[in-house]
Parts: sequence; structure tokens; C-alpha cells
Amino acid sequence: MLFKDEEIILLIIAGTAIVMLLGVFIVSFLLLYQRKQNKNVLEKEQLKSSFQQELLKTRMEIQEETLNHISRELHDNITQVLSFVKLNLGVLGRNLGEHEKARVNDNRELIAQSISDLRNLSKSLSFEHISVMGLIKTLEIETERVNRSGIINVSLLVDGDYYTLGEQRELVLFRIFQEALNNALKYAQADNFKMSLYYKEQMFNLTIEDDGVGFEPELLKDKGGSGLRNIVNRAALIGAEATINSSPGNGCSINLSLNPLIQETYVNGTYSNSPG
Amino acid sequence: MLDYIYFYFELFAFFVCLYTYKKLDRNFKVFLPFLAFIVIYEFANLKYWTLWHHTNAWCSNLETIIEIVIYTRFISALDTRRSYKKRVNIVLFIIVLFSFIDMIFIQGFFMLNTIAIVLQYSMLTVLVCLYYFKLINNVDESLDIIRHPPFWATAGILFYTLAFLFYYIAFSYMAYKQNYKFFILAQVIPNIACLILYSLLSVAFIYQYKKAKSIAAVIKT
Repeated sequence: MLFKDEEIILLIIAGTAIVMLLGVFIVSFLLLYQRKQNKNVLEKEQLKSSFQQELLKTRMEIQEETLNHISRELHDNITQVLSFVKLNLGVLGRNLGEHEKARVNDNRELIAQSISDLRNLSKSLSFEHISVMGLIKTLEIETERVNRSGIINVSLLVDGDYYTLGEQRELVLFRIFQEALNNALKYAQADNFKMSLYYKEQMFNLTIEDDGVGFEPELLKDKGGSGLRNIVNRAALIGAEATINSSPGNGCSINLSLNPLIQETYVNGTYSNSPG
Repeated sequence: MLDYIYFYFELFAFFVCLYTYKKLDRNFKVFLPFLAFIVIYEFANLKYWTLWHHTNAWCSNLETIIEIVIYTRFISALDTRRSYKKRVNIVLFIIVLFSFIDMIFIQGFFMLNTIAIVLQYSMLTVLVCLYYFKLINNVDESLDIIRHPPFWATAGILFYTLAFLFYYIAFSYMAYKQNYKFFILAQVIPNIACLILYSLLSVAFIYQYKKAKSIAAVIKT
């Protein structure tokens, strides 16, 4: 009988140990399963994010291709036609009297001005010029062009020793500048537009400010602020962080910073129509 | 001293609960009066104040009923489905009713109602498993289970009920035979079970406290 009791005690010990192990198994399984699930969710998020980036990259490539096509059309077709018109007017002017000749010359000057404007516009649309001239030079040309129009006063400040950020990153920065300028002209009714570039050893900073009407910060979350979101998305594409600050009546400021030493995220190739 | 290790852990869990009480969420707040009751009850047991007809079984029977009600309500509150809560309440009512039937008509008032206790603990085990099943299926993306207070509390309850399962199944047969080896077992198993339960409950309180504090810090900033 004593033996039977000991058997029962052993059974209690073994049974308790087994169910406790079962408990450990359940808890461990839950922990491992949850960890794995979290990992899967993270991977899914990363895939989603890389897909979004790929989508944005493709959109930008198409946009750049279109802009380049327009730029070439302007340069190779329209300006050529205008040059031909200018030449014809010159030939025509030889057979006219002094008064008519002066009017034809005025028209020739206007056409020459148009050709020059179109060439500048062509340059600002094409990415080829950025790769050839670099960001600073392109910005200077653009600033000069906009200032000449008298619509807005654009100022450019470059601080630190210039270094190249890479063709693609500079192109994205230039497009951000264009987007911000477009916003300042179209919506902000700004009189002054200031762009500052700070070149430091391990950090590049870009600040764009205008003195326009400003907007509610909530606009950034709304669908209405697609241009502003574009700026943030474009910045993210080159591994930069863009901060947009604004409030009604206080203009708008865009601050963008990136580490020049870290490789760009989408920029290991050239565009399909790039000469490079 | 080691014989009373379970009491020190109950006391420890009570003080942790008391310290973290303000930051605990509503579901966890019930543990403070419950742990206060447990500490008083165990202290009275240690001092033999609960002996009546040479036994404290009557008191244990009532204590396990309170215990099952508290733990069941706690686990069912972790689920938001009203139909589930309703079903759990019905099962709880049946189990409590059966416990009283066992106390009055089957095993008796002055005997430990092991049939009812095994049933109670089996129900708690099933409830914890159902909760884990829900965690697996509907897990929140941002949920870090290691820092999830209900996970630790339910793990404590799971180990506690599993540890006692075989012990109570054999209790009626062994205890009244006055087997010395079983008395050793009767000292070890409750000690281990209480040690696990109350230390994991303390971990749950601490995580709940940390969670509430970090949320408060985020709101402040």
C-alpha cells in the first residue's frame, strides 16, 4: 500500500512537471510567434515603403523625361524657328525705309529676347545642365532669370565650401527649389524669396523662405498640399529630411538637411534619356 | 523560514501593487484589495486563527471562490467582445454554484473542496489559453508582448493553476492518508506556485506602471 502511495506522489510530481512544461511551451510559443509576426509586419512595412519609393522614383523619372523632352523641343525646334524668323526679318529689313527698318529691328530684338528666355527656360527644365554646370551655377542662372522678370525678388546665399552632392541629388534639390518658387508665385503672393545653402563637412542644409501669405500647418496633411508633400517625398528619396513651417501671414520656410557622406538611396543610375 | 516563502511573495506583490496603484489601469486596480485580502488571510492562517473544527479547509474553500471570481473577471475584461464576457460570466456562475454545492452537499464544509477547485483551475487554464489564442490571432502590430502587463499576469495565473492541478486531483486521496511525503509535496508545490504567480503579477504591475509613465511623458511633451 505504501508503494502505491509513493507511486501516486511520483505521478503528482511527474504530472505537475509535465503540465508546467506545457505552460512554459505555451508561453514560449506565444512569445516566439509574436516576435516572428512583428518581424513579418516590419518586413511588410519595409516592402511597402520601398515600393512607395520605387513608385515615386518612377514618377520622377517620367517627369524628368517629359521635362527633358520639352526642353529639347524648346531648344531644337522653337528657338530654331524663332532664329529663322529673326534672320528673315533681318533680310526683310534691308529693303525697307528707315522708319520700317527701326520697327523691324525692334521686333528682331523682341524675338532675340524670346530666344534667350526660351533657352534659359530650356536649361532650367533639363537635367543635363545641372550635371554639366552643377547646382550652384544652375541656381544662379535661375535666380537671375526670375529676378529679370521682376515678378519676385529671389536671393541666393551659399555658405561654406561647395562640394558636389551628386548629379541626382542636386537635380532633386533643384526641383524642390522650383516647386517652392512655383508655390511662392502661385499661392503665397510673396515679394521676396530667399534660398540659402550651407555646405558643412558632414551636413548639407538647404533653407528656402518666402514672405508670402503662409498657410495653416494642417494643409500639409490635406490633399490640397500635394506640392508641399511632393517636396517632402522628393527629399525622402535622396535620404534628406524636409521640415516645412508656416502659419497664416508669416510666410513659409522649408528646411532640408542631408548627410553628404551617406550614399543616396535611389541614385545609382542615370535616367533613360540621360546623356551619361 | 522557507516554509513561508509564498507569504513573502504575496506581501511583495501587495506592496508593488500599492506602489504602482495610481498608474494601474482599471482592470488591474482590483488586485490591490484582493492582494490585501490574500495577505490578511494567509497571515491569519499562519497564526492558526482560521482553525475551526481543527481545520482551515472551510476558509480555503471560500478563498478559492473569491480567487476564481477575481481572476476570471480579470481575464474576461481583457477581451472586448460582449458575447464572450457574457458566456464567461455564465460559466463562472455555474462553477461558483457548483463550488457551493460541493461545499454543502458533496465534500462538505470542513473538507477541502478539491473537486470544485480542480474545476475552477481548469476553467482558468482554458480562459488563459483562449486569451493567448486571441493574442496570436488579433495581435496589434505595435504590441510588444514582453512589455504587455496582461501577458505577465495571465502567465502567472496559468502557471499557478497548472502547478496545482495534479496536486488537488490527488489531494483528497493522499491528505487524509496522512502520508508524510505528501506533506512535503504540499509544502513545495504551493510555495512554487505562489512564487511564480506573485512574482509574475509584480512584473505585470511594474510594466503597467512603466507604460502609464511613458504615456504620461508623451502627453506632457
